[in-house]
Amino acid sequence: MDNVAGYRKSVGIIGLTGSQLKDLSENMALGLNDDELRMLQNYFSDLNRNPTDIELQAMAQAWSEHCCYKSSKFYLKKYLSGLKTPYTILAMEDDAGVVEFDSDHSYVVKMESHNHPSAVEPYGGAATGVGGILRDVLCMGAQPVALLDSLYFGKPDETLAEGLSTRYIMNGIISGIRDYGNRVGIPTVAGSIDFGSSYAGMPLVNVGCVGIMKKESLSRSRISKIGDLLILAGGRTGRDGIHGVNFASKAMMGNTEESKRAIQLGNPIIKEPLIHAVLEANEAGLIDGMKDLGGGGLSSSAGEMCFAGGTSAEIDLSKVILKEDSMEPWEIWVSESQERMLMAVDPSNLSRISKIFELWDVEYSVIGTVKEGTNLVLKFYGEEILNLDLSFLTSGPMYCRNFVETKPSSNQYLMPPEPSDLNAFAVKFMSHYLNSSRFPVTRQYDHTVRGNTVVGPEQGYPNRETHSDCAIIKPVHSSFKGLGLTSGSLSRMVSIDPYNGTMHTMCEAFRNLLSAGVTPHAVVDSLNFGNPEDPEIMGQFVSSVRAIGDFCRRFSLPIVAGNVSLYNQSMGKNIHPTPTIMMTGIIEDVRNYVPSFFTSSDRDVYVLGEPQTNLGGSAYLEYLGMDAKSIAPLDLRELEKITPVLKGLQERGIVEACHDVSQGGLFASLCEMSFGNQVGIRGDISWISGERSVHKLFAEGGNRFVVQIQRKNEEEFLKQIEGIHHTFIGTTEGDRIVIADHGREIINAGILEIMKPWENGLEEYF
Amino acid sequence: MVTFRVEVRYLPGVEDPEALTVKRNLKILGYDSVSGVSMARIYELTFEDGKDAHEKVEKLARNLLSNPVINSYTITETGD
Repeated sequence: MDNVAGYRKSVGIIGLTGSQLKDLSENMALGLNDDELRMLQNYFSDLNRNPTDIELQAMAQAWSEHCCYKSSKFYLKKYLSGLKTPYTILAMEDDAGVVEFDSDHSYVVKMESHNHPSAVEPYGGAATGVGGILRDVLCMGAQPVALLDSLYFGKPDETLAEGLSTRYIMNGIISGIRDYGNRVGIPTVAGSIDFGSSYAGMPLVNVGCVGIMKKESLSRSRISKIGDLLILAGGRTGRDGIHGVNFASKAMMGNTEESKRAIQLGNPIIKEPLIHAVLEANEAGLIDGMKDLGGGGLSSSAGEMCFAGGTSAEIDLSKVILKEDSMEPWEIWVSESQERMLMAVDPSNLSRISKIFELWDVEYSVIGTVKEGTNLVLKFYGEEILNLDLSFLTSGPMYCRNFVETKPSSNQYLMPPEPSDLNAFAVKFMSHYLNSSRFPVTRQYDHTVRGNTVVGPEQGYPNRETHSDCAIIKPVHSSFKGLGLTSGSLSRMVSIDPYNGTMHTMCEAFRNLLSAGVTPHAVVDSLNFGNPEDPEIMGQFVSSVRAIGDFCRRFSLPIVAGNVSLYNQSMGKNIHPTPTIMMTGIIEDVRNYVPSFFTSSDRDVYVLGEPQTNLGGSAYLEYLGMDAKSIAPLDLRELEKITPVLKGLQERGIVEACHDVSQGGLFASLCEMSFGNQVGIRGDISWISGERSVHKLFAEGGNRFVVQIQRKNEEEFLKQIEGIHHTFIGTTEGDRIVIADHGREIINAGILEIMKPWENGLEEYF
Repeated sequence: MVTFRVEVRYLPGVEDPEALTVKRNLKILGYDSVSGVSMARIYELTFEDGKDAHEKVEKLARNLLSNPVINSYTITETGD
């Protein structure tokens, strides 16, 4: 590197050989591959000059997998584009999706992964994941109202040969989410936790957020007014999180000092007033465009905002308020320090917006102006240090990577051992961490702050709670209309059969909402996969995306936002493909939600939907340590048939309680329904089929709902569900869970006998 | 018996919300002359047996008492 003058540091890349370029990329931690380095070299050769260090860093940020989706965007476009409904306001355009809520309001949703940082620094990584998703929703002009998170950990009872222990990672991540979410004052209401060996050392942290706003408050993530001032507000810019995106875009290299430097540090105490200040300024109409600073920092936000609005900008980096002196200009430009927002403001509104920021004690500075033209110009104490064409900077390469889609082998029927004492096994199985209650985690989160939560992660009578199918919040003060929220992934099924497993994941989210009487409304995906350079992993990705697209087309659901995280590997092994699906739904009146537990005794219990017997991908096989080669097929026509009928029965009060069959199979569903009000069940599963008991009890998948009805409504119920497969299972009574099969009582246990160990199943790992 | 003093503080560039709040409040109370506040945690670890104690303290400080992403630490032996 030679110093041209002062701050402008030119880096000679013209004329370098391939291996020299590679060395340069490594020395500057650019994370670009050979072809991309060649593209850069050619570009600057054409300009007849060498790039400056900051120009190279900016290009590396913009072209990282994280920022430009170079491996995934071809397939995302191919399968997920055009999925919009009349009520979709913004889908896959800005930082978050925007959907109509009622005639005056829209809601904003987004889910994002924060896997790589959480693998290195669980506490900080997860906390900043929450911070980041809040900003995505905030920058659309919406008040965040709920958080959810889907977490995937290694098995807590497995010891690892190297790296951080699973229990350490798990505790760190959960405390990070707790401390950030609780301090910033937004409730954490829903989500999922799953365990699997492939996540050991590479946990997945998928954080989602929902916000609400008046329709006219929508603020776009673009700058289109020439002459506007660019204001950077919130936290100071520091050296934390430099190269975060580059590092999230390649295979993990272990817990090195370099990877630790890439971790951003969160500070919820700054975020809280920032939310108020931004919303107040936006409400007053002072903000012309706004974007949060996340992965890639200023570099990515400023560039993308100008490019989207067809403008350019001149920015003076010496005006940025810093955490520490003596930062290099390129460090300021690519820093991923948290709690920062970039906004475009008309000069005539500067004094008004300053007053708002001062009132809320939020630091800010004017860092540049919006200009005409195509080139972004950066200055540092008057000296020009970057001058790049925005279309080149932001476009990025696009790969159409090779892929092979794995064909699941033909229907293979597994005959796993059947425990001799099913009763004792059932108690142990329910208390195992795969099935046990998530209370030790969810009870650390504040799910009622803001006072909008109607249904949180648990429901039932005090001290007898059970799991909810989905959360329900009431975001608008003056109306009883509610939003249902759920998220999760059936990654065990996806790993066996990526296409059908993803379909099952979509159905599960759909059923979670439906069970509570909520109508599915919009979809957000957070796709976590391994190394895309491996055709098999790419194949998993393509199948999974195809399934999401097919499902949404079939059920007319829009995909409004999404995120892709690749290169999720630990100790050289790829994680299970994990497409987390977050689904939102609408319930016209939150007071009519349908509980997920047996509300009273002497009621009839039915299962709606075709029985399932394939144990592939089930918690039962995972518990036994057995692999499967196929999973249950899925009949979407059946779900289409059930949806309106179930909804009608719920609305008329005929279905009094409803819970879908998912992890742990029918048995887990019946248990969870018994827990909520300590109402037992006397059931008989011989009516389901002639299969072995374990298949009937523990098989997952399908479109099954367990419903509770009153005997006087039975006739009407049976009339309505004509043409839909249904099985009478038994009646609610007493305080025991009693299940018979072929005239033999196979399970007979007191509710508390199963519930207490279930409730505390996770406790020992904290 | 041997006692060590481990002082854990934030690395330069890491914001300390607690210290910033103290500083802000001092300013509100009129103590304008305070231009910086920083805070640190101090642990005192006592070993009955001084054997390998140095290595143990070093390991504890690195892995347990501090977070290398945001903290630095110093160890001093404070005597018997």
